[in-house]
Amino acid sequence: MHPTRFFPLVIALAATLGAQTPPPPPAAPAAKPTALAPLTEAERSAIAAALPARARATPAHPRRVLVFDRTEGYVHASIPFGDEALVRLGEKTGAYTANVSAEMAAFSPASLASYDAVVFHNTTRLAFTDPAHRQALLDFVAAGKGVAGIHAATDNFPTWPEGQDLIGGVFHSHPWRANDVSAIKLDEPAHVLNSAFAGRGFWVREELYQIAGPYGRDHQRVLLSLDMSRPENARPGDALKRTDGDFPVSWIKTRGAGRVFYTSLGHNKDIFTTPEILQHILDGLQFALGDLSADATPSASLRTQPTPALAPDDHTPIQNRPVAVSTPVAPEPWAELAAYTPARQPEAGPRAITRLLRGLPPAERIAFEPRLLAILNSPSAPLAARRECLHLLALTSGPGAVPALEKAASTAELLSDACTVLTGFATPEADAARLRLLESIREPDGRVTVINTFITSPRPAALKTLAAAASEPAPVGPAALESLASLATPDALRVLLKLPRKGDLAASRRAALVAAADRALRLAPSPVQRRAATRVAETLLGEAGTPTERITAARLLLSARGAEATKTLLPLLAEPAVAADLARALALLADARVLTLLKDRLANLPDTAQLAAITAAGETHSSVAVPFLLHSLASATPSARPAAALALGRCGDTSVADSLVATLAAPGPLADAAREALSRLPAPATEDLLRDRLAIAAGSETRAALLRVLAARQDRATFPLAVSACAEPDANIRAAAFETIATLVRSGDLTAVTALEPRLQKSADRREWRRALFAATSLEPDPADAVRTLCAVLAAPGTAERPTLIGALTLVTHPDADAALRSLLENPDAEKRREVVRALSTARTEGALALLLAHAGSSTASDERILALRGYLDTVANLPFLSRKRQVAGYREAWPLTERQEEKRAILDAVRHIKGSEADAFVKLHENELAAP
Amino acid sequence: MNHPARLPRRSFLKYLAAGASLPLIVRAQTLGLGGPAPSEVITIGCIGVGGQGNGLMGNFLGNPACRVVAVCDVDASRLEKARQRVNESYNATGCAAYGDHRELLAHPDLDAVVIATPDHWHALITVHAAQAGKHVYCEKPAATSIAEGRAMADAVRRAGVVCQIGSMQRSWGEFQRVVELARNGFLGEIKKVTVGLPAGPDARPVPPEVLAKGETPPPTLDYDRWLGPAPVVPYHADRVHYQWRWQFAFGGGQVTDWIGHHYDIAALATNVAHLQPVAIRAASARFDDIGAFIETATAYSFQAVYANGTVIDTASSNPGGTRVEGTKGWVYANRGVLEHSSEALRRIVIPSQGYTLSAGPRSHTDEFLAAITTRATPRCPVIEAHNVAAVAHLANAAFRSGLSEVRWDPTTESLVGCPEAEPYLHRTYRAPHALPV
Repeated sequence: MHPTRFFPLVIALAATLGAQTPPPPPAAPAAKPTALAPLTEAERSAIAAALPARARATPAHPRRVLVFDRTEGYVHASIPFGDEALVRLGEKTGAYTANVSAEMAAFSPASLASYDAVVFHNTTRLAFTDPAHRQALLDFVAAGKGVAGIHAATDNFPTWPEGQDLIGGVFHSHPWRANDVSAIKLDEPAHVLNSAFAGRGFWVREELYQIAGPYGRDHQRVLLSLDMSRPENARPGDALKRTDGDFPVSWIKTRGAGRVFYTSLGHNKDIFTTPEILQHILDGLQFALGDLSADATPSASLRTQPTPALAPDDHTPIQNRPVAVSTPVAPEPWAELAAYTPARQPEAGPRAITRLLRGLPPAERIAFEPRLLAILNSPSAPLAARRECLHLLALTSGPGAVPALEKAASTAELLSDACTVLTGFATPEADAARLRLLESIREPDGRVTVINTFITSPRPAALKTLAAAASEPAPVGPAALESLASLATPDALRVLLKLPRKGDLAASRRAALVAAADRALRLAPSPVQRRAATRVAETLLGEAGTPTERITAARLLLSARGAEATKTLLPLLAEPAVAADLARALALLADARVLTLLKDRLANLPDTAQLAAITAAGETHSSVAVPFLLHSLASATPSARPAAALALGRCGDTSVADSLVATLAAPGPLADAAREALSRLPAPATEDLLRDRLAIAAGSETRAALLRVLAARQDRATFPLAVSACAEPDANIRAAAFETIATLVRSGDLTAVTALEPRLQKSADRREWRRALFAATSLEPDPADAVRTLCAVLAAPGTAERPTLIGALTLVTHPDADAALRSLLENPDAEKRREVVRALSTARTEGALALLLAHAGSSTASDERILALRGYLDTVANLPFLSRKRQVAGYREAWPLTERQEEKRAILDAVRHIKGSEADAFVKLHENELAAP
Repeated sequence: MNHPARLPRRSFLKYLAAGASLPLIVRAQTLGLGGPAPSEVITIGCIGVGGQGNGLMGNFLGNPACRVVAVCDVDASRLEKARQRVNESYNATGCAAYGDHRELLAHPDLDAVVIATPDHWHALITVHAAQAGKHVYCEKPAATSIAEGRAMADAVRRAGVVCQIGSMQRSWGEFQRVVELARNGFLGEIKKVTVGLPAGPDARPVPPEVLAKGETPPPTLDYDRWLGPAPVVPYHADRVHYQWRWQFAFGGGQVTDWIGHHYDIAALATNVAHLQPVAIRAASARFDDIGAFIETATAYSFQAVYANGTVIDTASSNPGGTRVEGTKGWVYANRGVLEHSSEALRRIVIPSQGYTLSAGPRSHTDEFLAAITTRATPRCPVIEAHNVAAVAHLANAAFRSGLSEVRWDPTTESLVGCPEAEPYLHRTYRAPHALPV
């Protein structure tokens, strides 16, 4: 990993954070937050609706809290919201009573003594110059009282470091602005002050701070912080001063006997109408008050670091988490339900009741059934309301449900819903009701609806009625057929068999018959079912009208009788439309005798059938199929042979290897299939055999193929064999050998790989050798060793692959590698330097990237600078896994180094092809620097 | 601490390990079939050519091994656009257009159909297609109820046709990696399987005046046919065309929509895709009032428990994607993202003799066509898709009935106890439609 190499920005601003404070401004008068408009009724209700029902801890004594909202700097428009929320939080839950003040007099020792905690609510630039106030506040906390800070509370006390230290940090800047949606993680999901967030990170639309000054995880316990693993939280350029990626949002600490809680949430108004955040603030306040005990050991001192709960993928800000739509909460959901029509929003009525019932244990839901029945029976209730009640009966499922559903079914518009709910009851009472409906409803669509319930929920008692219905015209007849098929009992089967299968109805009756037999067989494969299914199958084989019907009958017979059915079915192999599927089904039996029969007939089967049989045999993964497959390997049909080879790879063991090896020299598809098959045969006997064959094989194709197979099998023992094969004159074998080395290379192989350099002849060799070299370099355990090895080869006379070796050097993270590359780039010979630059340009590594950029800036020769820059741009465009963001950043870094229009144009052209706002912004910023062409 | 690398998919394979050898790809061409003779070209009808359907159709239009000869949709304007697109693509005029899928199934010499209708139509069309002897590519989820999925699986099996369900992540490298590492034992004994599916959708409030007014379907939409076997609801533009999935009449919300992706991968990785769970536990869901036509859960979590002890944790609050953790490490994937718990794990190359998903055509649609040629079992066979979708249906039944635990018998496909969940597993088809079993 080379993150620091890629971004050679100097980020050493730690020293600039915190310690320096500007000279104290003259004491500023408070900018009164009361200049802001008072809250409307709706705003007050919204806050009220978000308040938690109770406090997490019971106060030890009645608590008094000072909410201090004085501003000597920026006035947050959210202050009235926060004031209201903070006051009402205490009032509603009994956690405390609060006063709101903006007067410094509140900090006289006498005044402070009457409070248990002080909340600095969006206070800004408080000078807090009076030494008596300062001491009073410090004593207040030291003696065991509490301080809380909301948002701008860290932007105060510019001349009072102890005050800043008390809060635990100083506002530096807010790279995350009020409209940005940012990801927040729970540093400690299980901490009690994070309980409001239920163990999950979240997103928030909020202005969030970068904290500087006396902040540190060794001083305080961090609860929430920015989840910097999310790219949305990243900020461009040097906006983020901290190098440690630690951007806290909420924390607690102790000071003497007292406690401090701070959260930077509180800029946007809707923070104060978000239930989870208000809960979090209340918990923090109760901690500060000393009522809610929570561990405040500094985060860095924890023996076991907690696993943070990161932000989820769903970016919905926590303020937008929907709880209720903006329509007012219905005062009486039952009245709403009773009046419900599709023209009304469902939340107030049906959904509210659903939620109510669903939240109760089943035993308690029954109590509400009479109210549902009342609406059902009410003549003035709209149809839609009654329909909703039917579905709600599924939740209450009390004694009155089934009768009410049966009664509702007499209304045509409610029949379907009533049926659905009745089906869900699965009780004898509900079954009886369905049966009565089946017998009483005469209208065709209605009959179909009731019959449909017997398809997914069959009942033997309905047999007689369904049997009669099966003879009715469509749509009733076909539906009844399906319900009989679904019943799948012997009686149902008998009924279906008796139905005459003539004319238009023949096909659907046959289908129902098959379905019934097949279903019965699947659910209960007993001898009785087998006999019944056999009879059905044999009957239908004779009657079947289409090839698909014949296939279906054949498959049923096979399901019923297995291999014994083969004799009956063999004649079907002569029918081309059926042969492929039948051959497949027969082969899937994995029966030796059946496979022998197939083997004998293979040559007479159409090509598609051969393929189907062979492929199916392969899917059985059974050694029983091997003789059949070996025979197929010699089939006259060209497409059968590769299929057979593939299948052998799945069914065979090492004993089939030689048959496959023999085909490695065959042209085209067969050899490919044989390679694939050999790479699948079971280990380890196969590797031994293949290595053996490699030693004695004569042909170039075969030996090359064997090497590749052994490589795919990850056979390490082949590595030395491949090394020797690199010396072969045959280009094919040599290419395979280098490929094999690249695939099998392991840690410690670097010397062996570099030693192969003289053997390279063709570009295929070079390509694979480069892959091997890069892998071996990355895997080398000792980086210094890697550098030594690579440099030794570089220095040796006659080394041709210098560019590749230089590229490999850029992979090593070690000062020796840096030194070696630097000295290469500082070679007094300009041509040699250019060679190095070109080598770096083709390396495609992050290390090369950094070096090219540096050289593009620092080289004294302008042609070298241009060469390096172009190499850099090329690499940015082609580096394998560079994100869009990093690409744009890469181009941005190069821009100041462009000396010519050509490079500027090249960069802009490249960035124009990158999608996203960062790329667009870059183009807009720089495109006018291009001279007109 | 492993930092996530956001990888463009094309290059992620290079990321795996410097020495990774690409698995041998076997295409139909590899079997020596070469370019298909005209008689071997697979003819295709596309049923449902809206957003997803149009995209799928594009995949097939680009493949010389097949030819789209017919399209079908209940929306006449979409139908016409699709027909024109097909004709332009082949520079011909012969594409047929139907408003009724049974008419398309009767199109002469049709080999296969691609189904991209809303979920509530999947089962009926698939069964009809199978009974007509057509191979089927059907979008995920298999269907909207367990009975429907069973009907599809049985119809396909009886007719012997190839049926691929569109869980295309099975064909994507980053997810194949999760499955292969897990199945080949490189993660050790599997200890924790975590699936993250989306929450949501975003709020879509329907203004009261819109609800009150009601709407008439546009003349180009055959609304009755669009509804098909689902219950009649008043037409609103906000209910149909993509938004149908937030209503239980037509879909099952995010959990049903996404179970065939990240959960399917987890099921493959733990080798339970051929099974159904024996229980859903710790089920909880939030149903937020965010719109009149949004009924499905907006946040949810549950555990699926299998008879062999496998437990898969699924929640909308989990990181999106699939994470499998064992005694030797963990691997996590989402679309375009792949993370390993250690460099050593990242460098592991799956030996070819191990369990591998990656042999065969890279694209999910190509793989379907190759399976037709050889009658092979496709990469996502309908029976497995049915088993996976069953998890979503059971979870939804738990959420809607308020039960935190639901027990299930996979053999009889019926609930064990918990009658409160029963109503939510049933759908009554609207006349004149009936579900062929």
